[in-house]
Amino acid sequence: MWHKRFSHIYLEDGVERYPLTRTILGRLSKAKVVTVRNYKDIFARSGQNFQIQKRSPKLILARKKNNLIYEGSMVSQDFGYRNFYYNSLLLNCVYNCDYCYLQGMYPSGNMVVFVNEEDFYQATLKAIEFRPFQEEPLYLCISYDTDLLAYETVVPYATRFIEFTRSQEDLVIELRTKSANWRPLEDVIPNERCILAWTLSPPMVAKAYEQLTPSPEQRIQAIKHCIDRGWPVRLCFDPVLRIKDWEKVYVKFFKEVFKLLPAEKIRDVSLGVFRMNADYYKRIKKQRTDSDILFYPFESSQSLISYPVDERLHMIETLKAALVKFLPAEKIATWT
Amino acid sequence: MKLIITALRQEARPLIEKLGLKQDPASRKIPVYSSDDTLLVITGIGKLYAGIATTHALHLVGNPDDCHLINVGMCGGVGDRIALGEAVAIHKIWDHASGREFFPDMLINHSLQEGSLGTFDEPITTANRPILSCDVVDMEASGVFQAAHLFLAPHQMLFLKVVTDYLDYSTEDYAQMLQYYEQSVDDWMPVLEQDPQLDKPDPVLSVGQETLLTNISEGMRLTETQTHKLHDAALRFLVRGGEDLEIIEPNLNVQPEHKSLRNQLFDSMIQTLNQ
Repeated sequence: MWHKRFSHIYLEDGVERYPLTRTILGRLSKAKVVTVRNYKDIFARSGQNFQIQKRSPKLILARKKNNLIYEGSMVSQDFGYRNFYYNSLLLNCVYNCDYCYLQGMYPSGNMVVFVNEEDFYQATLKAIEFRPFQEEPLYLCISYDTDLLAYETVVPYATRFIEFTRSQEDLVIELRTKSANWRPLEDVIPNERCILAWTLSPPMVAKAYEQLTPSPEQRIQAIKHCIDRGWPVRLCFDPVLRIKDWEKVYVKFFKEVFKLLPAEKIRDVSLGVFRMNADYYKRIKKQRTDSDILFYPFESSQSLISYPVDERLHMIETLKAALVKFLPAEKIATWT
Repeated sequence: MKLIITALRQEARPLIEKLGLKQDPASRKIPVYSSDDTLLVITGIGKLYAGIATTHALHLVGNPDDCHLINVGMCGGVGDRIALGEAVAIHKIWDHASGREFFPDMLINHSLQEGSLGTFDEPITTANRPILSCDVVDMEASGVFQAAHLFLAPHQMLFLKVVTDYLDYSTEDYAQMLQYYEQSVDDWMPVLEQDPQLDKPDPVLSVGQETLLTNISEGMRLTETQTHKLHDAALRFLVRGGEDLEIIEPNLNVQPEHKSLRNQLFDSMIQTLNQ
C-alpha cells in the first residue's frame, strides 16, 4: 500500500550544483525527483501528519542559508565543554522513537538534507576562531536532530565531518547514533577528537519504543568493533524511561552491557531521564495517543516536561549508583 | 468518506454510474451526488469555482478528519511524454497566476505515472502557451488544493488527471477528448477505489467514558481548569494501560457542599488516575 521510504526526492532550486546532491541522487537513482522553489514549501506545509508521513518519508535536498551552527541547549549535556555547539546537517531521522522530540519540533516527517557542506565547514571554522573560551576546544555535536551514521550509506556526512575534524586541532565533535552500521567507519582512521556516542536502551524498551532501530545487541556489537579499532566511545543511557520495574530493567541492562564491553575503554557515560520541551510535547500529544510513555503524569518546569522532581532524582541516584560499579563517578554525566 | 471533485458533468458521469451515486436535490447551484461513503461535486470551470465547490463539499462532509479528497479530470499534456488517454498522479501543482507551488503527499503506492501540473486561469493552447516546465495543465487543481488545505492534511488529497490533448485542439475535437477520458476510467478507478484508512487511531475515551467525565464534572461543579485536568488525567490513565474509569466512578454522585471539599476530592481523583 505504501510507497517505499524515500520514493521521492524534492530538490530545492539551485542545489543541483552541489557535489553532495549528485552523490545522493546517484545512490537513490530510482527515486522520483520533484523540483521545489524553497524547501519550506514542502517541509513546512501546515497540517502535516508526522506519524503518517513516517510510513513513507521523502527526502528533501536543500541549502541551509543561515544558522549553520547553534549554541548548545540546556536540555543537552555539555560534558564540561564550555564552548558547546551543535549543527543541523539533516533535519529528522530515519528512526522513529516514541520519546523523540523531533516529532514535536518539526512540522513534517520528511527528512531534509542540507547539501551545502562547505558552508557548514566555514561556519565551524569561524566558530572555532571566535569561541568564547579560547583555551578550550570547540565542542560540536553534529548528530543531534538526526542520526547521521544511520543514513551514512546515502548521505556520507559523518565520515566527511570526521575527516574535516582531523585537520582542526581545536575542534572536538560528538556523533550520536543508534546505528549498528560501523562499516562506513572501517576505512576512517580513529581520532581522539571524534567521539562516537551510542544511545542504548534495554531490549524491552528498544523493542517497544524505538521503531526501526537496530537491537541493543547489534548496537553493542558495533560499539565493540569501534572500541577495538581505537575510537573514543561514549554510552548514552538517555532517555531513561519510567517503565514498570524500571530499576530492575536498567540495572540488569547495565550488567549485560559491561559484560560485553570493556568499561575501562569507555570514554564516558551520559545518564538522563526523559525530558522534552513543553511546546513540542503539547504538539506530540495532539497527534498521537498510541504510546503509554508519553502519557505519564509529567511535571512542567522552565519550558520542559519531565517526571516529577523527586522521582527523577531518585531514578538518577539509583542508576548512577548502579553504574559506578563499572566506571568511576567522574566519567558519568547526569541530567536531572 | 471519499470526496470526488470534478469540473465538468461529463467528467463526473462515468463515476456517478460506476459508483451508483444519487443526486442530492437540495444542492442546486453546485451539483452534488452521493452514496453512503462517497460524495461527488461538480465545480464548473476555473479555480475560483473549484475552490468554492470544494469548500461547499467539505462543509457537507462534516468531519474532515475522515475525508479523502480526489480531484479527477481532463488535462492537457505539455509534451508527449504522457500518452493521450493516460492518467497521471500529480505530485506538484503550480499556480501560474500566483507562482505558488502546492504539494500533496505521495504516500500510497499506485501504478500510474506521476507528473507536475500547472493551473491556468484561461485555456492554454499552442497559440498562447508560455514556456512550461510542468507535465500537464488544467484550470482547477490549485483552487481545489488551496480550499481543501484549509480543512485537510496534504496526505488526504490525491490529484488524478487524464491527458486528453496536447494543447492543440478545436471544439470539433471535444468528442474525441471525452472519449480518451472515458476509456481511461478503468485504468485509474482502482486507485480511486483504494480505501486509504491511514491508521487513524480510534479515540482513547469512549462515548460512555466522556459522558462519565462530564457527569462527574457537573455533579462536583468542577472549574473549567479542573474539568480539563480531569479529562487529561483520564486520557493518560487509559493510554498507560488503565482498563476503564471504574476507579473514579464512586465520584459520580458526589456533590460536595463546599469548595475546599470539592478540591480535596478532585485532588484525590487525580492522584488515583496518576498512579
